[in-house]
Amino acid sequence: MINTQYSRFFRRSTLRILSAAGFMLAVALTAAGEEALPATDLRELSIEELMTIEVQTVYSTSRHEQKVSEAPSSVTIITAEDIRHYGYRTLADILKSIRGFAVTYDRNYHYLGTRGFGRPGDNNTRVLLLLDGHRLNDNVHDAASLGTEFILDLDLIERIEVSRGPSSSLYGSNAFFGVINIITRNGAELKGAELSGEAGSFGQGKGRVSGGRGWQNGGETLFSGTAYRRKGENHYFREYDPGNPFFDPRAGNDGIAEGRDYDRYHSIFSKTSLFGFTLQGACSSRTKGIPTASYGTDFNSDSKTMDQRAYVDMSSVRRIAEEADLSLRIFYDFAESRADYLYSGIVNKDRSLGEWAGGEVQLSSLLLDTHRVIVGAEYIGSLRQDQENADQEPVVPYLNDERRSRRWAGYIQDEFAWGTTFRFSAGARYDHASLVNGTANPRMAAIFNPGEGSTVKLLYGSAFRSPSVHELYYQVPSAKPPLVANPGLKPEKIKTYELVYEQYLVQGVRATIDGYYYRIDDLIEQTRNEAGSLVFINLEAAEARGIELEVEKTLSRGATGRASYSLQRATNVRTGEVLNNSARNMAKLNLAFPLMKDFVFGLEEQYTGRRKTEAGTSIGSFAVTNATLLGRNAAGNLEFSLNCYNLFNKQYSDPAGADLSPINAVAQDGRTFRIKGTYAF
Amino acid sequence: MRSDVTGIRAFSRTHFAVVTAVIAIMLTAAVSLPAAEQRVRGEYEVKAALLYNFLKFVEWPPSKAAGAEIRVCVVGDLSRARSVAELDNQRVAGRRLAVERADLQDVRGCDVLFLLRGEEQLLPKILEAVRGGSTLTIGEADGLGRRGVIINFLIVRNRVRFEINAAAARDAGIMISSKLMKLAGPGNGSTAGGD
Repeated sequence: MINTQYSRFFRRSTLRILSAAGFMLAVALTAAGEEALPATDLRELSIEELMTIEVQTVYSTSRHEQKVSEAPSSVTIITAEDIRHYGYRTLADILKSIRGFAVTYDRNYHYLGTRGFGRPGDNNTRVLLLLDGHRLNDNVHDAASLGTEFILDLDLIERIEVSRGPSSSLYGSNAFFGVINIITRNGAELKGAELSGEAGSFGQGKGRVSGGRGWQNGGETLFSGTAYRRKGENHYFREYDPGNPFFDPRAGNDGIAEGRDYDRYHSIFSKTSLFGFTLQGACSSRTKGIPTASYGTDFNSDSKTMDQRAYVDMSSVRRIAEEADLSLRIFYDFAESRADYLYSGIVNKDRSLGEWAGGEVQLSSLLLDTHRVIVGAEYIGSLRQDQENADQEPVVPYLNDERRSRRWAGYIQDEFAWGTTFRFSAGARYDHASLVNGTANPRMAAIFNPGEGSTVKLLYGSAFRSPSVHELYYQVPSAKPPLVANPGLKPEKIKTYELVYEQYLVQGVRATIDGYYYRIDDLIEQTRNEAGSLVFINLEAAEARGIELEVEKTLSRGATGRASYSLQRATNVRTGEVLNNSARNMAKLNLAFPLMKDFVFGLEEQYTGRRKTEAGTSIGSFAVTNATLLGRNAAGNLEFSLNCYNLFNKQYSDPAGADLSPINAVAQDGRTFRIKGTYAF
Repeated sequence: MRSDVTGIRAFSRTHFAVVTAVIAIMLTAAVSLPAAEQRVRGEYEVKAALLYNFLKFVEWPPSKAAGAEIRVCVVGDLSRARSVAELDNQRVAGRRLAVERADLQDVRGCDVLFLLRGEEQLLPKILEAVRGGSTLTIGEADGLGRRGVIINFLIVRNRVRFEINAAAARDAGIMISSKLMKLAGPGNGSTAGGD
């Protein structure tokens, strides 16, 4: 029986993989079948028009602007156009579409998995999230927010640069599996006001007001505010159904969490650039109901989390000499996470409060005519890294941990070309933090360009992630099970080796083959000790190896899109077992094609292979299809879209973290709709 | 439970068929549909088109402007910049472009010289070789404008920009129209040097 099931699964996934390969081939063939655009097309444009055409470049990989094909990393760029073509609602939606990335959702937070590593409930501490270069990971949990708690409205994004692999050599902690840099729109391109409204399934509504303008001396201003609410649907959990023979003691209400999946947020963003200085401020606040009774809370109760995030950032780039740019940045950040957890009707208040300020200075200079040298230093002073936990009525304090810390770092990187065909990049960074020992992390890349459009990259990197204050000091010994602190945690470390081959096939079509090997030591994991308490320890070594194929078509004519397939295997080095929440196969397809003059149809297809849950059971493979119809009026000031997510109403689940026990897997949304309109004045 | 599993399987087969059909239709449509808006282009496609356009705005001294051909020499691996190679035989202002790959010893007498990225170490020798020959030198690496290349391509915020070294153009006896001068320079940090 098991055997036939396995072979059935195998046949099914083989079919899917073959079909994914077929898609990619089809995309490539379509592209190849097209006449290469006659070069006259471009030559007939004026110089001004030519100067508006985008070429693919990336900033955050090396901290200076360079071509994607010359960057010392495997890079994916997502543009504002992609966000509109595929109707993305959250950063999580966007990251799901990226080669080698997977996102799981537990109906409170989203968790990013990269290349087979996806620890449910790990708060995304192993990716560094930047907004216009400003670090978004907080200083208590080190968490990156990907869902509705993300600080920025997606409509304000101009592009997203995703650099795979470690970048601790430039960015320090958290730049472990990758760096995601989000670049905001230019206020000058708004030229006035913009109003946007949307409505969707499960009582979902959102509104946005934005204004922007350019200044005569080249400066710009952008201001925007967003409010969102979602009533949410009722959810049935078998684990909490008293009619189920294995029900949990907390079961009730026929296993239905009624009106507990609500979600509300508002956010404000503003940016002004004047006289070479950019001042940016952002804040957001989200309240989310918890339908899953996580952390042993009462089922179908008003348990909720409230996340607030704010920052101000001032930066400037100055040309101090010929070919020498000095960048300066100072910032102040605030992050607060509060939760109300109900235990037998008693409200338990959990709170973390982070406050930090710091600065960066960086010099980017061309030396000896061929060396691009970047030298920089960073300082972050944590003013508060506080964690509290107490029952409200009667008052019983369980935890009151207050910390302050600081860290500083220095880095250097050199990139140089050796003839037309070879480029090298080497860099290293030393980080010192008052709570943990210092680490030094190098990165090296050799890039070979044998001809126009062919690139071979050989990449080596190392990175670290310091244990977060939460992992080090959070403890509530009276909890069930008891939570115990471990101040002796060491940073976890990763070493990676990667070989990337990129080839432009015909104009605008790029194919990529990417093979990698990752090894992580001292992985920080929450586990049960002998006494049965939950504690974070430097547990195991893990490794991942994989190969990814991608075809991408970005040229204007006809359809644009990407298709990718990832084959990956992430295992525990000691036991040889495949990690939890790690699919062996993933395939993704994004296709946008013009329908008549003013419409674009966007189709998205994502296949995820079988994954193991924390409890050792497995979740079957699934494919989800999303479709978007985007249109605009002739004058171009009104844009509207109709979106259908999970078009075929596929029933599927994501593995849950240990905090959701006894729930192993959380059912995801079936078919949902959204309608959206944006008007520019 | 069993029937549930079968149901899902049957369903995913339909799903699969529909998606495949939609994609097939889309791809067919994609091939036959007219061009949509511009998005991302290869860097050298844009640079080649710009180079072609520049030629409408530059004037060589009469001794050089007479030929039926504009000789465009490319130093570096031309296969990397195929779009530039494709300019060969195109016509601009009644003259035919002749694109060739050139080594240091061939550069004398070129009307246009494009120094590809990565060959910057050759620059002093190249400038020496083309001195007095009224060659429009074009580069594409940071700092080349300052080092005596007349037009230098830059990439700023994903767009191709260029800077013009007016003094170098004057020394070479090449006239650059004021229209082109105005478009030069990365924003307000222009190294164009006036007039």
